[in-house]
This record gives sequence, C-alpha cells and structure tokens, in this order.
Amino acid sequence: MKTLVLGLGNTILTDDGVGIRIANEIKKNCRNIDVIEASAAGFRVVDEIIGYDKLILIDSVITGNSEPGTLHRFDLAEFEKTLHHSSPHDISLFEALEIIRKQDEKLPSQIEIYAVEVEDTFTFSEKCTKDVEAAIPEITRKIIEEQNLF
Amino acid sequence: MEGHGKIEIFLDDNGNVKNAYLQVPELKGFEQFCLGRPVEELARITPRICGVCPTAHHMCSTKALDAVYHVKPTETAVKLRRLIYDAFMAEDHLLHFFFLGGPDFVVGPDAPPAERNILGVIGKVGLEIGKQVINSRRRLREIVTTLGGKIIHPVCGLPGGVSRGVTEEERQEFLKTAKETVEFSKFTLEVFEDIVLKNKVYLDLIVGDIFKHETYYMGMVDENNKVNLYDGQIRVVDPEGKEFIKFEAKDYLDHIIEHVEPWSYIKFPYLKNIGWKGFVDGIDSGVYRVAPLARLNASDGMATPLAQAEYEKMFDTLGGKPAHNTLAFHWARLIEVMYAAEDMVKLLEDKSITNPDIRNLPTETPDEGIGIIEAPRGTLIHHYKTDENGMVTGVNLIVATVNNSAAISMSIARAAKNLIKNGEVNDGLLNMVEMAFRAYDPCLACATHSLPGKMPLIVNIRDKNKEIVKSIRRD
Repeated sequence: MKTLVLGLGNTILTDDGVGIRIANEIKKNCRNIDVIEASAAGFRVVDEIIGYDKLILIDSVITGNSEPGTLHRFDLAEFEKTLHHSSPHDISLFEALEIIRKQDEKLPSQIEIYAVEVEDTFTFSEKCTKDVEAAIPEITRKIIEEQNLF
Repeated sequence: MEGHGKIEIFLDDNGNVKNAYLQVPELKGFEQFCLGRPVEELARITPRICGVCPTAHHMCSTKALDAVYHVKPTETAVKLRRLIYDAFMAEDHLLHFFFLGGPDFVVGPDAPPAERNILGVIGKVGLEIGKQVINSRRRLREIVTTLGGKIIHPVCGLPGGVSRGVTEEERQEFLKTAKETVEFSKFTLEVFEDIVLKNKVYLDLIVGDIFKHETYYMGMVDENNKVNLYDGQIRVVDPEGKEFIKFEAKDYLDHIIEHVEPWSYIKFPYLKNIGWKGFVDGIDSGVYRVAPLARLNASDGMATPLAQAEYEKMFDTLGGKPAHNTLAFHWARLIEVMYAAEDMVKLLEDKSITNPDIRNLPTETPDEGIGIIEAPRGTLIHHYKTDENGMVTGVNLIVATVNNSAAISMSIARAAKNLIKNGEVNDGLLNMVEMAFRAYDPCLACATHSLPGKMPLIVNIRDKNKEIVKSIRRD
C-alpha cells in the first residue's frame, strides 16, 4: 500500500510544528513510506496526495479539553477541528479532494487523521513546549504501530 | 484573540455603521528568534513565517543577502530567480482568482456561502475549466519545485546567485508550460470579460462608490517605469497619478513609517513625507496602497505586449489612471498573470538561461542589507543587519499586507457604512463587506509577523451597546 505521511504546521512557531516533527520522526523509522510537510492541508498540497493509497495527516489542535501532548484521532468529517485544515488563502481539504475526485484522479482510499493537543502556537521557537516535546517519541511509536508502518 | 483576524463593525443608535476596525493577533519574538543566527538561515526561516507565499519571502530574503554580502548575482542567476518568481506569481494569482476572489463574481456576491466557492465556480463554468486550473497550477509549481529545490519552501537562493541551473531539456519543457500559461491567461481574461465585465450589475459594483478610495499607490518599476515584480525602484504616485517619489530599496526608511493604534497589533504604514492624517483618503493623507492594482497604477505600463494591451483596456474601462476601484484588484491580478507568463516565455526562449554562471561567490565582509520584492499581495521588504561574521544583529520586515492595512480598514468601513443601514444585516450584505476585504487578498498571517497562512476571520456586528447582533466566521 503506497502511503504518504503529511505533517502539517509551522516548525518555527513552538508547538505548531509538532505534526511535522512527528512526521519526520516516522520517516527516520520507516523506509516504505513518503513524508512531506506543509503549512495547511488545502489545495496547495493536494497535488502531492494524488496517486497514494493511504494518507496519514498529522496536525496540531487546541481543544482545551485535554493535556498538551495528548494524541487525538479524527474522522475526515471532524478534521475541521484541527489547526491547519485550511486557510483563508486556500480552500479546505474537503473541497480540494472533491475537485480532484471530479478530475478522475486517483485519491487515497484511506485517510487517517491525527492531531496532538498543543499549548503555544504564537511564539517563535523551534522547540515545542515541555509536555508536547516530551510526548513526541511515544506518539511517533503509537502512530507507527497503529498504522502498521515499516 | 486566539488566532483570529477580526473585523469589528459598530452600529450607532439608528443602526447605521459608526465605524469598523480590523484586528489581528500578535505573534511574539520573531526578532529574538533570528538574532545570533547565521544570516543565510533567514532565507530558510522567513519563508516559514507564511504558508501562503514562501517563495516571495525566500526571494526577498535572497536579495537582502546579496545586499548584506555586497555581491551582485550573475546574469543567469537573475534570469533563474525571475523565472521561479514569475511561475510562483502566476500560480498564486490564479489560485486567488478561481478559488477565493472569483466565486464572488462568477457565482454571485449574494449567492449562499455554500455555493460561493470553487465548486460553485466549476458548476457555473464547467468541469473542463476546473481541470485546466489544476493542470496549469501543477505545471507552474513544477518549475518552482524543480528550480527551488524543495516542495513548498524553496531553498535555491544564495547570496550572489542560485544553487541550481536549468538544463536544455528542462528549458524546453518549461517553455511549453510558459506558453500554455499565456494561453490560459488569455482564457482567464475572457472569463473575466464574459462573466464580470459584461454583467452590468458587477461592472457597476466595480466602478461604483462603495468600493473606492483615492489613495497613493506604490509598486516596483523598471528603468522605463514598467511594472517589475523582481527588481527595480519603488515608485509612488499620488491620487491624481503623478509621480510623488521614486526610491531605491535601501532608502525605504526615508519614505515609509508605521502608525500604531491601541486596538490592533497590526501596524499601519504611511508615507513619511505626507504624514498620518488618520484613516482617510485623499492627497493630504499618507495612506498608500500596494498589490496588483497599486502596481499598475504606480507604473506607466507593462513590459510585455499582451499584458500591455490588457493594461490599456482596463484603464480605459475604469475611466483613466489611476483607478481607485478596490474591486479592480481582481482584474489587475489577471493582467499580472499574463505579464508573468509572457516574461517566462521571454526568459525561456533565450538559451542563455542554461549558462553555467549561476553564482558569484561573496568576498566582502557582511554588514547590512535590504531586499525588496513585489509579492502577490504587495511590496515586501526584508532588512537585515549582521556582525562581521554574518551573525544576525537586527531584522526588520515590512510584509505585503501590512502596507495595505490602513486602506483595508478604510475599505471595510466604507463598504459597511454604505451597505448596512438601519440595523439590517444579512449574509449577502456581509459578504459584500467582505468583498472589500477580499479584493486585497490580505494575508493576516504574515501581517502579524506571521502564522502559517491559517488565520480564520471573524466579522462581528455590534449594536449601540456594543453587544454582538450578528457574527460570521470564515476559515
């Protein structure tokens, strides 16, 4: 199964880049997948998704209901809760997928969405806050295991 | 503020608009983050402050690095940088027209929000167009990715040149893309003509008073005062179209100064030698505008023939130059796509672009440098200072949208005042207010010294007691 891991966020805004950090960690551990990073999951990245069987999105989220570093898993329909599902300068992933589908392009039949609860996405730093930073190895391991990546 | 851009519209006792404010949240510590790093890293870092136009930041940063190291890029390097930049500009503008700004016109300003999107556009103009937009953008992105060295965030710019040249095979392939983009841009201008200009209601909206401001205009021009997106002098014309000033990048602080308001973190730049007179237009107010329409207003024309013809047509239709009609930003944007496409053809038809001289190695001690470029959303300025080892000691950025921040606030207030009467607010009216805002294609993300292109916008209408009576949110 041709698999793409897409890390979303910004690696210079503290916790905002945690999705990309985890995607890169997964890349270090797994050879049979592709990994890319992007700041939002709209039309600007949808070209890159074409041709894959499975897409794993890793984003950040502030639900305020759980501790920073907690891993959430969403359905595609719930994806709008995460931070980077779209941008005012782009269209949402749903719209983008719908358009591509209309063009008869091959889209992933399986889309898995993860988001890490974060604390600070407004301060410039390449390091995540303490709890989020500490959670990265465990989350990486968990996603690799759940998704059966190798 | 939790990461939202906000437009607050206040009504008076009679339910008419008293005032409107644009607010954006603050991001902290950008300068601190940059200090002490090798200055070359800024060409990698600054594109990350915005998910929308990383290529503009990368190119502007690269030009600032040329200046910091006192090194001139080779002729071939300049051609390659321009090629990447043209491809990026065309791709970004096309996205805005078809996906973001276009739906207002193509589907209709008062269509339900659920239809006012690209799917609505495709529904109206046909699936085939959707396919063409996608293919055209994909091929343009291939140019940026191949030469930029990386998907999304280019890494090719070095002080004195670029890291990678173009092969003869790639030249031929890219030339095909460039020619196709010229054709696609003709087609896009036809769509604009058929759907927008031939519709009297839309044309009246464009030329009408609701979306109009008589301001100064700023844009980069070449030695013939033609629009140039990559390099040249910054020219400012007054509201009557007369040249007010033309200056070099390095002198920007003599001409631009920022006004601060207690109610917003966004700064409001104005012309230093005119002065801040508040959120008002006219020849005595230092408020100026940037981005496509401003660039066309600030120039004497386009350097390529098809774009020039469209330039003349636009100003004829709008009643002369400068055009003060905010919604004409959409039109000017398409003319710039044509220019970028024609410029790409010009660059790629000349085989010298495959020459191997892609870099001059810097030999001078680094100290201070300023780079300016015309980003899709307007004039972008990067200003760096370093110690003798090239470690950053100071950074100042004036990003494109910030230049327009005063005008955007004024445009929102004006549209709101004209459209919202006696407390009557509905989605159609609010969308029209938003159109005043969307014409600028503002990037609030970057305007607050960043956030990766993902700033949701909330519009709140408040009654005389400052209670919210209606609120809309756009992600």
